[in-house]
Amino acid sequence: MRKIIVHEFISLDGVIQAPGGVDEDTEGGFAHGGWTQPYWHDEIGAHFGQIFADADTLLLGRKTWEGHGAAFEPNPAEDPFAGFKKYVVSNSLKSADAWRNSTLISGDAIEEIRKLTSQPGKNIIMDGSSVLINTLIENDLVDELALHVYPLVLGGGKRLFPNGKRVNLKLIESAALPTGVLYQRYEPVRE
Amino acid sequence: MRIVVTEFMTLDGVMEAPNEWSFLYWTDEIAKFKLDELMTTDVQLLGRVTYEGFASAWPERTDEAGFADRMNSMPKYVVSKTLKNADWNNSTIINKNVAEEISKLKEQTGSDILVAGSATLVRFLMENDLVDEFRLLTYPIVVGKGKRLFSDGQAASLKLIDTKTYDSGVTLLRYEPDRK
Repeated sequence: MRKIIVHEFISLDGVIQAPGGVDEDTEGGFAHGGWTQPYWHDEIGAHFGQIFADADTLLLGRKTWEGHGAAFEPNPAEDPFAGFKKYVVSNSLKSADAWRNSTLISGDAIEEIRKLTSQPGKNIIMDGSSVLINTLIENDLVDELALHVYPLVLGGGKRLFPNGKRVNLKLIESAALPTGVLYQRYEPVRE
Repeated sequence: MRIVVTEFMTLDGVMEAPNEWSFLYWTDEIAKFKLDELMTTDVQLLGRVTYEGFASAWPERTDEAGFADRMNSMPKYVVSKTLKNADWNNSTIINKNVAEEISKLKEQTGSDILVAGSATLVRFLMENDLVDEFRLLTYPIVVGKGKRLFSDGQAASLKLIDTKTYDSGVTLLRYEPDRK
């Protein structure tokens, strides 16, 4: 069955907010936007390449979808997700027209996502989307966590893991990059 | 001497109550790492909560490798404004001029000053730029509750100096402060 793979840039204190740019997401007064930039290494791109090669679908929360859409809808040539089918989960959005090839999921999102995973196809990738990922982790719907762990303690911001949920994992890959970023891949242990 | 902060940590950053989540992933290699670490330590520096936990557990213990003997015999400094007595063998209370007292400790010759657990103390040490190394044994588990090693408002740029993975999926991450 196709897997749901969560990719995140994450600090040592578990923060995933605004990794790429200063103004990406300043909610809650977050002032560290763009914290991944000094640590870029081509291996990070190569890891994305590996994940993308086995995937054909992108699943996002509204805010991350809006951010990606705003960046890539006007620049189709630079859209790394150009060939992907996109799903955005939101109860407030009216349509998913703002980014091509997108479908809106509203109502019982968990049920819809379960249906999605049972359909034939390649893997489903998620990034950003802290609220949606919290919900998916709580419902045991995440099949792999691919984390680029940065040598930073940010001191606050949106975190990847929800409160109150225990998850046993299995480490499937660990690689250190020369810029001090660690690539850690985990699968849930389901008994 | 260098201050080395050594921690058991979950993937969601929790350091509290490792007895509730770390045993499943214990290996002989991790045991060896912890033994070697203790044997190259001259002094332990602890916060009150961790100190009290250790002081109630270690005096009763012995083991062939000598881990417990070393824990019990080596000098311990406990940082606390409320603690009146520190009865565990070879313990000293630091209750005032804390940064200065710890800086004085660091000026002594020797190998490492080890800080285990002690999240509140770690925060203080970080705020005063007194930490020389972090060793984070990161466990492949999300626990969803408990005290985090790094609490809100605590920030740092670090330099990754080494990593090691253990068969059970635990990763040792070693960092130094990035003092630019």
